[in-house]
Amino acid sequence: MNASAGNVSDGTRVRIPRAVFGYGGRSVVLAEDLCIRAGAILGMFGPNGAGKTTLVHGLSGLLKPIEGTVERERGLRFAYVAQQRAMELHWPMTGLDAAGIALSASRWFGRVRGLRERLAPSLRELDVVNLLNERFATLSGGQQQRLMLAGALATEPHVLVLDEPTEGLDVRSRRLLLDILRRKSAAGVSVVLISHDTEDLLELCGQIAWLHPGSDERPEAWVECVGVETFADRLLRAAGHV
Amino acid sequence: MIERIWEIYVPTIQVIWPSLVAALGAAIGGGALGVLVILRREALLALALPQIVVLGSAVGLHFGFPPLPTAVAVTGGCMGLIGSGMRRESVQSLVPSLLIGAMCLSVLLVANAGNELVEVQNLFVGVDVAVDEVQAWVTLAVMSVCGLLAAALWRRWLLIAQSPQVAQLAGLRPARWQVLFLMLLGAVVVVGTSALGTIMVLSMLFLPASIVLPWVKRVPEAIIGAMVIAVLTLAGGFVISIELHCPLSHSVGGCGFAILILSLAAAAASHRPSQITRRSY
Repeated sequence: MNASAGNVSDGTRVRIPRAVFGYGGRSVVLAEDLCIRAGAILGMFGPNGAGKTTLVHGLSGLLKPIEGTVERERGLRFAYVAQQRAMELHWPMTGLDAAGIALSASRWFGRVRGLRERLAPSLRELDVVNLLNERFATLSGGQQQRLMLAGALATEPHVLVLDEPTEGLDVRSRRLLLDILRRKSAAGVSVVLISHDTEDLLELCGQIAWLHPGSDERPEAWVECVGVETFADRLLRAAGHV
Repeated sequence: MIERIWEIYVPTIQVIWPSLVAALGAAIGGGALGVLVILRREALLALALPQIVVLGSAVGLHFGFPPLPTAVAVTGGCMGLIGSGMRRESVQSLVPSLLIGAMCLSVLLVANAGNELVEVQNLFVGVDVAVDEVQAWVTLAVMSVCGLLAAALWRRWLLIAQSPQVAQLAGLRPARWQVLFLMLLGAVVVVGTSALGTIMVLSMLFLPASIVLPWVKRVPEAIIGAMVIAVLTLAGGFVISIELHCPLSHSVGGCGFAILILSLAAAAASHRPSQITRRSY
């Protein structure tokens, strides 16, 4: 049995009892007992190439499991904010173009009636209204990140996935971003935070999906879902402080 | 001056107007598509495709098949190879290899065959008087449709290039849109090369877009600006070709390059970010 929808309850938006995700029949990552709850912040931690992107694709339904089941709430909307370094800064774009690109790209010929109005609430919330007519490339990393986040929030997602959102941000921008994520979580938006920054994960997340790389006996990476206390304890042990 | 226009320019236009109509199509299609080619970092692919079209024509000439259908088939095959290479990420070595391979093979295949060799050389340079009426209008129509599609759907193609995941979550299928973009580019290159030669097609693809990009704030401005600059470059190139008695394609390319140098110098003087010198390049 593959992915099924509409059979989760109790505020659970996505549940994976057990599923293997991969490409072309090749297993990349195995996930067991993983769930995303409404209003929860799930951290995703692991080395590069462990399969974080594959897992996110599996959670969001972009990738069907090779084996196992993914249960998803019916009509679930995901939004994804890519890493800041993946943004194409040489493109001639204003803040409005950048924030609205995901919203307008899904429409034929890219026309969204009242694009500014649709973006307005999230732009105000993220304090970036004054950046709409600025050249996107000339903005600071924090401003760019907030504009992209505003664009993602304008799609009114149930689950918001952020890939390394605080990478390269100064202290103030980082604090602002984490506060926003906390507020969205309190408002019922589920957040998946992909990060190498353990400080962010410890500060924000309730649970961590820890990806362990595969080995000779077990070629695919596997996901261990741990509480934040266990995560902190393991990090301290690994650093030799305990 | 007016006398000279009546005596030299008007008779020339009467002779080569199909070539000018086809070049107008290349200006519209190439200008618009060129902006996306540069922004999506597919310049090397766009450079390789005309050489592949010439190779296809050379294959046709060598084996006695009609050159244009053979060029379409060979280009389609190579684009399929490139498309599968994109998934395997081996495209970085594949495209330059195809470029140099096509350049060499297209000449080797027709070596020592006088007429065929001339035809292949004409595909590189273009022959101003060789474009017929039907070919001119077909080129204008195909190029205009491709240019307008590129202009209308720029958000999709840029989003897919930047973040396929976001595009997928927005309901798009990146692989299909990537194929469609390659098909548009392929159509512009095949039709343009067979009518006007590779130099004209490449000039229209790269130069107008590179000229306008440092000066615009938004992509639609860049697309419209590139089309306008391409048409102006064509007009300037036409004048140069008459005054210097040289082929239209070389004149257009030279004129475009001169404007590009001026544009980059002015951008540097006014501290505008150049597309060539940005950190992302």
